[in-house]
Amino acid sequence: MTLEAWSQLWPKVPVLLQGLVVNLELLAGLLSLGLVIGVAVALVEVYAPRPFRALALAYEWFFRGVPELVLLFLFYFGPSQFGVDISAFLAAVLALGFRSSAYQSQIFRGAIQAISPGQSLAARSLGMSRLGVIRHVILPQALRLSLAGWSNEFSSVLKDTTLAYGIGVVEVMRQARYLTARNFPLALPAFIVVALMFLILTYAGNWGIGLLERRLRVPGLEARG
Amino acid sequence: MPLLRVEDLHKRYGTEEVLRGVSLTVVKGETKVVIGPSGTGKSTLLRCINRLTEPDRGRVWLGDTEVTGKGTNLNRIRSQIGFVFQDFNLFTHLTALDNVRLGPLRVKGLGKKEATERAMAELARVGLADKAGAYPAELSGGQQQRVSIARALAMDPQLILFDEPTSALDPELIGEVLGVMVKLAEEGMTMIVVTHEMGFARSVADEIVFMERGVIVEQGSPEKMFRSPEVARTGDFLRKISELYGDAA
Amino acid sequence: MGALAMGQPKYVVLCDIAWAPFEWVSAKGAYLGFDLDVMRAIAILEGYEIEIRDTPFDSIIPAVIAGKGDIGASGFTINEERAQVVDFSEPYWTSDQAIVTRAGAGLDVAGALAAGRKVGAQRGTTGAGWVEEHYPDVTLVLYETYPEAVLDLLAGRLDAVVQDVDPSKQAVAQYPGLLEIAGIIETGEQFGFLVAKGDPKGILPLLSSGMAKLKDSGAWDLLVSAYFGPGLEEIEAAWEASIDILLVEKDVLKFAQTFAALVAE
Repeated sequence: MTLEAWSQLWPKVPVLLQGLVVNLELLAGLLSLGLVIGVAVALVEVYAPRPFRALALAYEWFFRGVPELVLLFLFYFGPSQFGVDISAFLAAVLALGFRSSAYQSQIFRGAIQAISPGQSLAARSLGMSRLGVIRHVILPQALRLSLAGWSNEFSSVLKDTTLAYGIGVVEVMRQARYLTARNFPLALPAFIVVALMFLILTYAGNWGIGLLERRLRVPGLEARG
Repeated sequence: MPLLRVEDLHKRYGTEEVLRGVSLTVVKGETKVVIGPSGTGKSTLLRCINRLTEPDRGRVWLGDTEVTGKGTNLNRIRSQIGFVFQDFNLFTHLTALDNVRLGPLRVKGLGKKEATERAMAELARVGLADKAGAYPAELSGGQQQRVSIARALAMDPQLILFDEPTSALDPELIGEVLGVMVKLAEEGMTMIVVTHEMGFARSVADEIVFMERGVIVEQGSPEKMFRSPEVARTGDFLRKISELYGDAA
Repeated sequence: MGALAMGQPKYVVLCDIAWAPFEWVSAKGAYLGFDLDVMRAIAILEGYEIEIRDTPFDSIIPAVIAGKGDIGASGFTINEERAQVVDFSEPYWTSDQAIVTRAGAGLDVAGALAAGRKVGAQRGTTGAGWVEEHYPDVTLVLYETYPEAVLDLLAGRLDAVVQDVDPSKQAVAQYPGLLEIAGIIETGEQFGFLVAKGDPKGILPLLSSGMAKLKDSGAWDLLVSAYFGPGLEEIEAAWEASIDILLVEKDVLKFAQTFAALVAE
């Protein structure tokens, strides 16, 4: 790794950043999808009748058990068997988003179960509907309690976005490989820069979530352990 | 016509029959105190009245609406029956004001201004106007229970059910909660109170109900129950409980 | 032209764009290389449009089978195994395998592939299959891309890397004094473009006709001379100066002439 390689890499950093933007788009898509489905799955697991609960657990089991790359291929190639052509980007958001939802649902389920059942009972005694209880009593607390676990999930899926390269999404790893295919000596510096980008993003993300956690902190409502 | 009518309630948990045919009536403005050894179904009785626990058999009417009826709008009925829990069950993430305001806002559908005014008035009624911004964890047990009473009051209920409201409190905090309840009774609130506080039962109750093993053994005025109970077990229980908790005077 | 273009069919070309000089990404981010320019030229000559989609090498055949792409153009060696699942065009390139070693390692082909040696190759490539078949006693290490194998060779973790001759020459050119070609094995494998089994869209006749036109006009040989030989930077500069002739003017021969002339300067 020579100084020359670094000086050649420097002007290429914007190209890598361009790739990183794609990772961030993937991240935003998969986290929101994972959040919405994760909360829904967790609610089903805690509150729904038994057959639905079993279904939700099966969903979780599947998406936690299948390797990410296999999921990516399933979502990219699978739909074309039924005449549906989805882009590599969308396939990546769906595959990684569903997978994340399985992990997020665990986080939320734990958080929901950490809330004393008496509070639901009290809300019901006021005449609040089940949905009202979930919305006004359970979720505001469960989401706060989930933030710590969510911070971990954020770091983990942020890194997973690089796997989307496997189905042809031109993200930062792919950009780095373009550079090295053209100019082999750039490989090491390019991957070092990519590593730094992810370290910074992970730090920034966790810091942001930590800030949110402190901002939303309520006395008496803290994640146990 | 009685405000509340309970007819032949039964409830079984597994092999244990907790309620074995309980009937009672409560008229408007009455304070009824339910006493009895623990595990005799007093709390279950209260929870069956607003169907937080579903009774196996029996019927409950609030006014001329059957609570246990098939097509009954249960949420509507519950909004008219206040419930105060032994463990307060305040919403951890909300301030005292928001705890009290949640029902008027989200169940009664009041506007924010009106709901806030009502919540502040109820907090003042239990002597906690200055704690409106405090979270449950920042309040003593007695204060938390008073907030939970305010929460029930804010719904403007037809009656309030108290399920051992002082049992979880340190002795020095019991007085402030009982004080609020005495005031409510004096103001004419209809209440059913499950409690071991014999002083309160004696001085405030219009009628005392003695329950044991899922049935009502005896009921009557405090005068009658303390002085000349008809059933021997009633007397035994009252003596024992007075020794334990003091103050039967 | 525009009105005509409206009615033209559009085919998706899949290519693993990390294999100079057949396909790579320029410093400015453009997709170029021999395979890609041939694809563009044939599309113009035969009257269809293409969209080039970058896809990892070992995903290209599954993608064509699944209908996620119409043409695979990524230096695919025609072989029996692949021919069972896709259809190939007639061969457009003949390649041998080169053995690249660290300069001064003093290894010839036999030495580099002796029992116990660690040899790198790109996953799913002919070179990888060739080592596996003929030299079962060497330790074969597979990589996602060719450059990664070269890096491991430089780092001393491999004794040799097996790859087609032209990319091997490019690699050696990038590390003057550090790498050398220990020898060339004349495997004579042939590259073809590939389409779905049975060619449901009738693309192969277009490729065949287009290649014939390119060769007849002389454009083919000009492209070969432009892409195989000089350094990548010279190629990129010439390509960027001339590509509009192909993409905008749609004049295939003029592009090949200008491109080749600029590279030769």
